[in-house]
Amino acid sequence: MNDWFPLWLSLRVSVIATACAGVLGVALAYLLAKWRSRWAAVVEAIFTLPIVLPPTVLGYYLLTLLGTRSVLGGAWQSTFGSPLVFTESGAVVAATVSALPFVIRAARAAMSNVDARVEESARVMGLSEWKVARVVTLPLAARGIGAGVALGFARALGDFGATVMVAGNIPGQTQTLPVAVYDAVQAGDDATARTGSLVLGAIAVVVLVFVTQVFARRR
Amino acid sequence: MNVLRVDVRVEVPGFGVDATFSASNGVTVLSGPSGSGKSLTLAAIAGTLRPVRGVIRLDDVVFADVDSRIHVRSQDRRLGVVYQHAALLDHRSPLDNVALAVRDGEAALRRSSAMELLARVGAGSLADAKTRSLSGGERQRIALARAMAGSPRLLLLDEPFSSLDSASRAELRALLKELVAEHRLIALVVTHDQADVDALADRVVVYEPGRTVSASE
Repeated sequence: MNDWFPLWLSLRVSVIATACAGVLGVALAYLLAKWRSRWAAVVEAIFTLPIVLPPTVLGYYLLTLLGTRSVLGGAWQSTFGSPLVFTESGAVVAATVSALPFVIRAARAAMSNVDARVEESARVMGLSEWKVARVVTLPLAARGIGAGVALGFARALGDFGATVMVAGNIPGQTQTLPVAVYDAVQAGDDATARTGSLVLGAIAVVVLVFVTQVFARRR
Repeated sequence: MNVLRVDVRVEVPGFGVDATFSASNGVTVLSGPSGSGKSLTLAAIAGTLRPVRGVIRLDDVVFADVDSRIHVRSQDRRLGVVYQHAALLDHRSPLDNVALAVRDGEAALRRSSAMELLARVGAGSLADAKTRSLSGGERQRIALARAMAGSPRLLLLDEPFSSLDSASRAELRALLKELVAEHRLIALVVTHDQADVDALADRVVVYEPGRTVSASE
């Protein structure tokens, strides 16, 4: 593989997307864990959709929502002077949406498992809700959150369908490594396809070992 | 003399309890079999559960009044709580656990207040210990120090000594009595252990499943 641009782009996109999904996902998970309403299940289902939807369908929805003729896409273009779709930013959005449910589900489960009495004691002793979250809930749920973020990173790095729909397949601009592997196979470039697949496979294994270790320590 | 007045109905799915009693300075023990609603009453007083009927007030401060839709947040009731299994933050030191509950002053002042409290409960040497590795008795001492840290007027203790050995139990009962007397506190202790009742109670409120039956000196 002579051109390492797709790997660096993939790493850059997934790191930014993981950061976005981490912040958004932990905040949403906290609200969902504390929100005692049947609507919480509906909201969680909506944010979980990216796990079960075909990635190309997810990409289609995002393209419709963020395209230059949409309200959001138009607002982005008038603010930043360039469209969101078929750019690196578009790839970040696609990867963020793909990673988000992994963060939300793991973080929500970890937060729901925090002993309610520890949180109640903290409230009764005068800590504000924000401080209870910061000092009690988040540290006690940290391992679950870490595992969710790691899985989200792996998902963001490996995303193909949503990314190719929203960001396209422009070599040197929006072509991430999974897309480059597909391209190489189509072009009969076995060496590039093999190297790209090995790199992505190795990163996935490292992430899974990390997640397994985190859960093993938890027990 | 401070007086806590409780006249509420508290419900959770499948169970409800009517509780009517008052408690003044000293230790009031809520006694009765498991499942009779003692801990639910305590949760309503702590503000972690909303009563479905009635009023809770401490002197002239209303904590909860269902008809007037008053529900003061737990944070604003100025209480101390101790649970059966000390709900300490295992990822923070004992000193941090207590300092977090000190409400006023700069960080350094809060830590020195916390240090004094730890010394007062006989846990000064444990200030920087690993919280996770403490014994049950040590944890409850720290939980007591933490409960005192917010300068509460009312202490709520839910089966505070039931997981301890008899020697630790006796020591902690004596410590609780001293703290309550020193600070002129109202302490409500939920227990089903007759030895707790004998050693601690200035007053006893006896529960039967679903309702309060009597309150005696």
